[in-house]
Amino acid sequence: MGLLIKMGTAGVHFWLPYAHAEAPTPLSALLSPVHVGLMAYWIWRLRAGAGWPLDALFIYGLATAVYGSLLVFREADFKRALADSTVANMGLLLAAASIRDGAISYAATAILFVGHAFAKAALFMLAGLYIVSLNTRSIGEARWDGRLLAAGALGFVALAGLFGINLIGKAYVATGVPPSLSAAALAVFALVSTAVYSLYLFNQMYRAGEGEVEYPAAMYAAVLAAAAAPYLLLLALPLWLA
Amino acid sequence: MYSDIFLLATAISGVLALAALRLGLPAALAAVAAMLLFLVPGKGALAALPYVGEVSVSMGYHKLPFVAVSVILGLLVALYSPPYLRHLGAPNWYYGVHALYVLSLVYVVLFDNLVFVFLALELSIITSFLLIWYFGYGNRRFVALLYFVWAQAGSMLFLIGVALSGSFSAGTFAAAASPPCWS
Repeated sequence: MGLLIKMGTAGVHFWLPYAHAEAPTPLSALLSPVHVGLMAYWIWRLRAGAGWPLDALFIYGLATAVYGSLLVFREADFKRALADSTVANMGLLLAAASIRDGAISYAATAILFVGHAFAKAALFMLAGLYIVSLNTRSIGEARWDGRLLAAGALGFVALAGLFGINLIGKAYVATGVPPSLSAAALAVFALVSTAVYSLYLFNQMYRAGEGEVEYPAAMYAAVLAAAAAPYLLLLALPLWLA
Repeated sequence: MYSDIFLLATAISGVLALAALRLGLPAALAAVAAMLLFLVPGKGALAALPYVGEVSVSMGYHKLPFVAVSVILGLLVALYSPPYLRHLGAPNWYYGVHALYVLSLVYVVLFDNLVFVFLALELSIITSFLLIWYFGYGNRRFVALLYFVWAQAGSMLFLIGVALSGSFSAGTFAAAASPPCWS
């Protein structure tokens, strides 16, 4: 229960969007992707001895993913939308850590953790770049040039799990669905909804329109490095899994 | 021995993180970079304490992605921060707390003794709480307290659950059918 509160899963999640959105952005970029995600490692590590009902936790994780995804659609604030998205992704991570097969569960947990960490850190840092350069937190005012749009596209596509190692992580979660029709339906809904909200946010950013934005090169370099990591790590994944 | 590497990495990154409280970014970057030493694989025991048991630490295949990402993102975020912190008007000590925060995240995974995992969680809560309290947005002090209370509740429940199991070692952790204090 303690680990679930710290992950911000549904029902015990409401502190998370406040804390992660109102924290200074460099902290949000670690708090949201890394800090809460590490609890999934401990759920995976302790599950053998703890005797938790894994199937129930898996379903609860998927339900959290759907609920967190729906929360995103109420937001106009870039950072709050990303914080709500963390609730959704923690649901997926919980489901990953609860897959019955220990080896598949570990692969799903580790890959989703890494992919989500880089994508979410990149997007929080992008939100921070807009705070510094345009003094706005509204995703609808996030004007872009080609480079910012590219970084946003990399981040949102990875967060959606449409490509990059996030896609592999989601595929592992899909293989761990308990054998029941309702669980399978919930899994499809969870995997699709986490993709849809990311594309919704990217569309919001795109609709802000092209414009001149002046920003520090060091900030952009960090955003781009984090956004590209889920794709670059695809190359390393076969070596790590071997 | 991994315990020697652990102590060496702790000493270097800890001293540099404390130095970063005054010196700012360069010392914080060096502190987080020194945490790469933790990635050397191995296993060791730091001490054996009464009741708590052996204080063991380890680094291996299963922990690598979690620790490596914490350190790499810690470095990236530190490199990203200067223009943002100038925008906020934050002083140098922000960087020192940032480095200690990254160290706490690394500790959360490295310790195999669950009481020390709890202590690492405490360090992570306190450091992140301080940054929200002083540099957050909106009603930042209320949000910082909300975060602190909920994060503490989570950590405390974790510790209580571990204590009820009667085993503080992650390797031998097993939930007791009837917790020792109830029998």
